[in-house]
Amino acid sequence: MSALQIENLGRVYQRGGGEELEALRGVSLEVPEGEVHGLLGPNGAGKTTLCKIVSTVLLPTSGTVRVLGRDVVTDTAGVKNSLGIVFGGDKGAYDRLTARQNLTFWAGVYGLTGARRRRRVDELLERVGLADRAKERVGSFSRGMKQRLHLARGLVSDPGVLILDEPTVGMDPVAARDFRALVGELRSSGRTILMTTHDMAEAAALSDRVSLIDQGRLVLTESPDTVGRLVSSYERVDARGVPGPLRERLAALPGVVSVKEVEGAGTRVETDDPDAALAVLRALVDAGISDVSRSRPSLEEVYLHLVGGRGMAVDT
Amino acid sequence: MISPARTAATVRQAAVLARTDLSVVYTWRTWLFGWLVRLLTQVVFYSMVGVLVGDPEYTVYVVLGAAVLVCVAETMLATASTCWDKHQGTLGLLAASPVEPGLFFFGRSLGWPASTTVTTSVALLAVPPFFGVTWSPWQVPVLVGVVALTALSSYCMTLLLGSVALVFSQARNVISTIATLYVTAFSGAMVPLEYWPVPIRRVAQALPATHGLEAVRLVEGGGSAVQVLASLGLTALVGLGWFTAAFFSFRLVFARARTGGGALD
Repeated sequence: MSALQIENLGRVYQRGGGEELEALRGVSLEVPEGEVHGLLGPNGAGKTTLCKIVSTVLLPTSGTVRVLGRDVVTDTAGVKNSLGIVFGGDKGAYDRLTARQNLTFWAGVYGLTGARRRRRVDELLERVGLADRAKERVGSFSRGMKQRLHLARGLVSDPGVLILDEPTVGMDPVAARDFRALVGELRSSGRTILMTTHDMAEAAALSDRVSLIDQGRLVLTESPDTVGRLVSSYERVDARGVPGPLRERLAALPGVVSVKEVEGAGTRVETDDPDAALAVLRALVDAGISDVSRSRPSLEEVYLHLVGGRGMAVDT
Repeated sequence: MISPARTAATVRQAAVLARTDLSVVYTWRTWLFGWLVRLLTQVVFYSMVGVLVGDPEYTVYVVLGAAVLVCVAETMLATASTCWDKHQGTLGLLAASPVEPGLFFFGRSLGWPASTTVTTSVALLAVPPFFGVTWSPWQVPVLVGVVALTALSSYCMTLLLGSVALVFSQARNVISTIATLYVTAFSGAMVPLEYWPVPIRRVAQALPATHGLEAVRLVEGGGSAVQVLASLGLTALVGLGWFTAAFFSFRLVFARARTGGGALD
């Protein structure tokens, strides 16, 4: 059984003056149990809207979403009990409560009582590395510590599906790395994780598969490697000391997409055909240029190719 | 159908938040020498109006009314504290959890009726003797009981206002201020109910303070136990009505947010 079944999902927001904003358009996605699925997209692409619908906070305008077989519209209570949600950012915890009190509260909300609740809270504090700070007020925590607490809270009901919405946003690199290590550990528990991010490296490092979403549409769903291979036809050749006339000749070669100057890399030639890359290399060597390197695109470059030049820009 | 055990657990869990918030908002010193003194001063201030009028009977009327109004003023703080989850970013998480919002919010601000039971009791027992009221020992526990019920009932009324404040959170203090003024004017605290036209008198019957205050006046004036119990019954009934309205209002707010109303963001 798929942990998440999303079929033809649509969501339209009503704005002032009768204007409509289509946040999601016909999104279909299946996430099998135990998969860590990365949902990539620029700000405003529809990632958070999708998470809100999956977590029953928002109703879809069209289409269906099932979490472990339960419909988010008709079996809301069942869905709520079977998933955990972790939002990124500074908020989402009771700052006046200690870490232990926060988790105890949420454990109670999810129906845990007595010794079972105490054990669960102890176990989670240990797991996210906050056992030593359990008695401190959350208001004094760093962003990284708060996020670890959020993760523990998301796990408090031992959910089959965990939604991580931009979990490392605003975290410093060390805290983000530690947090990713924690998420990596969750893989072994067999839990299904849907993680939204606009961080390519994060998605590549943690996900079994990634989906690219842009302007409310699912662009593709593949493994990080496959996504890389998908555009393996995209290659780049970096060379130093390329004179102007040669740059013009390179730009005229068949299969060359662009020729541009890149700070620190010299001239960068991008091609959409492996044969074109060879032709570029040959032309450079024939011109006596030896400082040449050829490489495949990173997942980030794939992403930029697929969503276009907007990249991380915010849709308005 | 929500099971009684789950109901109790939800209220208990939320009440932990209330207790913690209260312990952060006040230390015992700031509560005693700040908050309590401020409320007692308010009661004395209103009572002085009665003295200035020069009518001993009206002075007693006002001092009792002003003391019971402490109940309303303090429980009205729940309008703002209902919005605290919105500012802390936990409202969306609550919406995604299996919690029943009405029960959660009932527990969430329980610190106020607990605190106000003490402040109003102190106000009621300590200030009126300076204005010609004498309490006998048997009246003390009865008055504390009346105050506790009035505080809880007023709190239930405030919960409904809190559910509105969740949607219009920037107006939360305006909502509670206007409500306090209406209760002050129409509950019979300062102005006898008989002064108002019949429609307003009818609306006043929906205010918990109206019945709680009536019970206090009956205790002070030597009313029968049946009369006091009748007023207490009405206080409880009105409170239950407000709680029911608040319960469904919170559900409505959460349901509306699911359709894209945005109140939970």
